[in-house]
Amino acid sequence: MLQFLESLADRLTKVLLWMAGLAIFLMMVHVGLDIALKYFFSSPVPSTLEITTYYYMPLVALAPIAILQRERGHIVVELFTHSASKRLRSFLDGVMALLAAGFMGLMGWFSTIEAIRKTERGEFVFVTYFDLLVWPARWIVPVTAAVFVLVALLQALGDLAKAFGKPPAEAAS
Amino acid sequence: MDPGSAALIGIASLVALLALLALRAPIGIALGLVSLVGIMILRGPNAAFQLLGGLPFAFSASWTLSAVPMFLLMGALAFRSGLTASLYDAARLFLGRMPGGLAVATNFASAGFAAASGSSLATAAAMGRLAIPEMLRYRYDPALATSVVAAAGTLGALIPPSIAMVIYGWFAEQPIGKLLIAGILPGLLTAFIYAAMIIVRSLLNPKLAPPIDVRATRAEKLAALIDVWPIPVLILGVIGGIYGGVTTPTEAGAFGALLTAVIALVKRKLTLSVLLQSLFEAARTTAVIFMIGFSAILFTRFLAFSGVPGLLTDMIQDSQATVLHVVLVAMLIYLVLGMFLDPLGLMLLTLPILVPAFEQAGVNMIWAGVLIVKFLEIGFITPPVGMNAFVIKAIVGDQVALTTIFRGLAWFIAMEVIITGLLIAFPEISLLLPDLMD
Repeated sequence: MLQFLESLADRLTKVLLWMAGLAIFLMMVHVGLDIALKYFFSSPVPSTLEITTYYYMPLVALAPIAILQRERGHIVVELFTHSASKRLRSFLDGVMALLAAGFMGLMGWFSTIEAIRKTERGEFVFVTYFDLLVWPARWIVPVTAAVFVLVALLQALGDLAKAFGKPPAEAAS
Repeated sequence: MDPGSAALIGIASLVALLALLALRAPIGIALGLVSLVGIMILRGPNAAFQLLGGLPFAFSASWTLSAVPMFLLMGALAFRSGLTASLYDAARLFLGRMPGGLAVATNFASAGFAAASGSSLATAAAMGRLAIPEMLRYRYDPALATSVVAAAGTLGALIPPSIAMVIYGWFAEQPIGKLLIAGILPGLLTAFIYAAMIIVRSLLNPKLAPPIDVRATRAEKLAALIDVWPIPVLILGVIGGIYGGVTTPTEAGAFGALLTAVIALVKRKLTLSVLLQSLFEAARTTAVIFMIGFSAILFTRFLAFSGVPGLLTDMIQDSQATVLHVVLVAMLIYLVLGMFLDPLGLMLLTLPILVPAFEQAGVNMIWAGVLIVKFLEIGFITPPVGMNAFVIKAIVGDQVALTTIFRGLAWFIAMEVIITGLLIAFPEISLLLPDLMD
């Protein structure tokens, strides 16, 4: 079970990173094309600003957070715990992973409520030639938050197991 | 709740925040949690949850901030495709024969590298591998050889394109184009004062930097120039685009990234793996910044509810503090916190408090942006956690002790005292170019 969850977390975080990478690539090409067409032909690419704002940006800014947590790529102050024992550090890391899971869990929960509300209302913005749907983009937050929580809980489990010197199965109970 | 106890909660939260950070909490999570609990106490759970549900999307869905991932992508592409690699060779051919020549060359090459790559860590890593071994081979003083890379690598935060400036501008609601342009002269001033210090020290004590014989034919110099042309073109392209009004500051990011990709493609250096790695790296760094940024906004809201910024601005008003006082206090805060915290995180952490204080004291906010970025830069090289010193240490290994690196950096920090003094005494250095834009 635990192994399955680990490999699931691994795959999901990577899919999210690929989506962020794709979004950042499209952003570069889309905005670049818009500048060029505006400069040479005075005719911009329609909806550049809106698609960048509502789709590319949330994907780039949010989708990689799960893989960052998985690789512990966050910035941490090492100075005061430099000389702490390995067990104590594992314990602290486990507690912090739990706190992170709690925080992102709440964020995920309440953005889900928000996303459902916007979906029911069919949120959109009006751009030059058509209506751009915004509500699908609202789901980026709940999805990334959910994957983040999965990753952080698995880490907390591993860290606390290390801290108390028991195999993961016992530490969970 | 009466204002007194609300402010007390505000202050207690600052203490809780620092404690969490000391216990290895990631800065984004610590900031977010403290703010969330604080807002729950001050305004009730519903207000807190509503913010939590709406803010992540509202914050990340930002056209202005799209310059952040784009400038990051530009830097990653320039670095990974090797466009920045030839900077040192070129600088060495042209500057090598001066007193302290290799160090002067490293100084300018690192400044250019940092500006183009946008990362002082990437600069320290790349220049450290290239220039330090060569300087050591020519018996340069190890303290000088290592510290010049660590110090000049910080210049990327001032010379455009600068991510720190984009974030500051967004947070303080200042025109980002002007901020980017405002960093040019202070960045160049720093590079030249560094170079002057190296030259003077090498003249007074030739043992620091034994003269070397770099002879290059005109053809070799020309070849070096041809190899290095993309970097000035990229930096000037971004600056020119903004200055000339061809691109908005936001569009300048995408313009710079695309220009870098095209140049790398033309030079046959853009492989699929380089492209993918650059995309992923830029996306990751963006997410780190936004995670902290989102929490910083929660923190701003919370502090506003607690009335701490109001207390501070009242204090400034009552004590008749001048612009100079406020700036000096800010400097002190950055120097102390900069010893422990990562620069961008530190900026996001402090802006919610400092921006209202600056505005109350009537500080010019463009000038304030330059000063804040300068203070952050200094935090990269001051002990005990000057990040750049540690990156250099990791590269040189057992060859040079960490204390030796910091001993060398003491000279650069002394120069920073002079530079900061100049920037404070003569706001024109920062404001001349942006004022011309009107």
